Amino acid sequence: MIVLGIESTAHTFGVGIVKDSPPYILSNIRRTFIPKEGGMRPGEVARHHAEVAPGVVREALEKAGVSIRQVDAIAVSLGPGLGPVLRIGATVARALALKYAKPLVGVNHGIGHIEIGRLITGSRDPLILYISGGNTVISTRVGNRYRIFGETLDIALGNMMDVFVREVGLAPPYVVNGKHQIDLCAEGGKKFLNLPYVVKGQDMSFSGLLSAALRETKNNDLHDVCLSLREVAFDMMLEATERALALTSKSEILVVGGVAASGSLKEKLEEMTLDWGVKLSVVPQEFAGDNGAMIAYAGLLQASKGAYTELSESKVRQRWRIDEVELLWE
Amino acid sequence: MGMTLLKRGAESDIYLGSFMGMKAVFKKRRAKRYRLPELDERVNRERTISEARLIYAALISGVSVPAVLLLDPPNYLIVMEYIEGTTVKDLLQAENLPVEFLRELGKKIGETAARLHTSGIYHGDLTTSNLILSGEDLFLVDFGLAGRSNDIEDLGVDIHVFLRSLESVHPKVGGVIYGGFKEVYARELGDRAKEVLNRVKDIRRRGRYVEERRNSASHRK
Repeated sequence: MIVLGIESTAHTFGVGIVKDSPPYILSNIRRTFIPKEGGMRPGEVARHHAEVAPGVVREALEKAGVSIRQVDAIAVSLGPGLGPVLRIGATVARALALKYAKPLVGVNHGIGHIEIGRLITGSRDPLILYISGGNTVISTRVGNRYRIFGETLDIALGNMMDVFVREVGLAPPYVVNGKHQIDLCAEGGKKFLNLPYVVKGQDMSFSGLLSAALRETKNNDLHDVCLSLREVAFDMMLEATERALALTSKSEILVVGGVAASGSLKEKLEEMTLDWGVKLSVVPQEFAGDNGAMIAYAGLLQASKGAYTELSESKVRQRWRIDEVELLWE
Repeated sequence: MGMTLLKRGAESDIYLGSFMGMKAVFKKRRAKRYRLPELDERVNRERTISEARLIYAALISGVSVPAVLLLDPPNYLIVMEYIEGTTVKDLLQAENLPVEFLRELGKKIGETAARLHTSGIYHGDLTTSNLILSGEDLFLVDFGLAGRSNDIEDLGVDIHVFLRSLESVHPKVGGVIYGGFKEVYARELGDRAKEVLNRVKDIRRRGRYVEERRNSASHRK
């Protein structure tokens, strides 16, 4: 079985092609919208995606060496994400499905991140940290669902860091040579400042931390604020993770999502997992950020159980939680 | 004095030992290597002191808690009374528990939460691992993340954390327990209970896709 997957939930439009036997991933092409100033405006991002879509689909097919006729199903991320942006991906997917008479598979974006992480790292039954610009979730599979053990109570960790570097004039661009601006800025930090550290159970709150850090920039060296902000944010995440570890007694941790690429987070996680004697797997950079292959792969798992999505049911869902999805596969 | 490690928690090690001839629990917070030393010292010291204070405050509010026997902040250590019993988490691992038992258990937990909340205390980690049934008495332990507040948000987060520990660890029996919990919690807390329970629903809708900090207010209506 060969599945073409389309990712279009936020700043990245991606198309990946996967098959149900090694090497699994045949191609994974993406174009990312980078704003000239400010953050993402959904309308602008949607226009960008609509423009690049046909080229990305063509390139993914060429790279994979398959024709659209050989594809067995079209998978698309229907949420969660930004409405206007989601609708571009959904429209492209429906058009391909109709024109070439292929079944459609609606995929939850978060499930895509997790399943590609499991495929690539070989992680079997991990505690999952799903951290990205839009999500901060600690989860593990219980029965046929990814249950949520901890999450942010307000804004996502990645979003918090993005907003901070933008507000202080360091971004865009948010990431330079694979490093987030907050990490680059923190390299010059020496002094640790007191910032609110808020962990409630396995949950975290980042909005108060963001406001406090922005306030501190008035009277302190920016490098010190960056360092303190990053340390507090990551330590909150790690502490919440430790709590979830204690609660679930898992022996593996799998980190997925865009923030997984952060080197400083990885160092902390390595120390923590060493302490606990658990295995750490971090999804490699190519599959950490949003991409089409992860949608194609989650779509393949779904399609292999015959779970297709009727075109009339293929509405986008901006706030679709991972724990709403029934997992039909092992 | 022999000490046995009872449990390695997320932030502390819990030992069973004896203190002045009494069976006692030693809760020792660990320094975390991944944390900057300044932050680590601050978090551990503050939590050790605040935990002891809040255990005492909870006791005054009428909640069953272990008695604090010794507080040693520089060593991040609290020594407290050992509670004989079974955690609710372990209790719920058994199959085919009678519905009536589960409902009564839920009611007891609801009463405990209501007493705390009425006194302006939130627990901060209200999971089934932190509730111990000892005979007929339900004890609440681990006040490491507790605090003082009458804010609907803090009380709501308590209930949200409890509800999610039911859903994630005990999905089969969670509904019955929560039913009993809500009944007593609503009765005991009075008018504010409705506000808190509504806030729980609200909290569960959050934490998703917030593309802009400035817009976040509109997600909370």
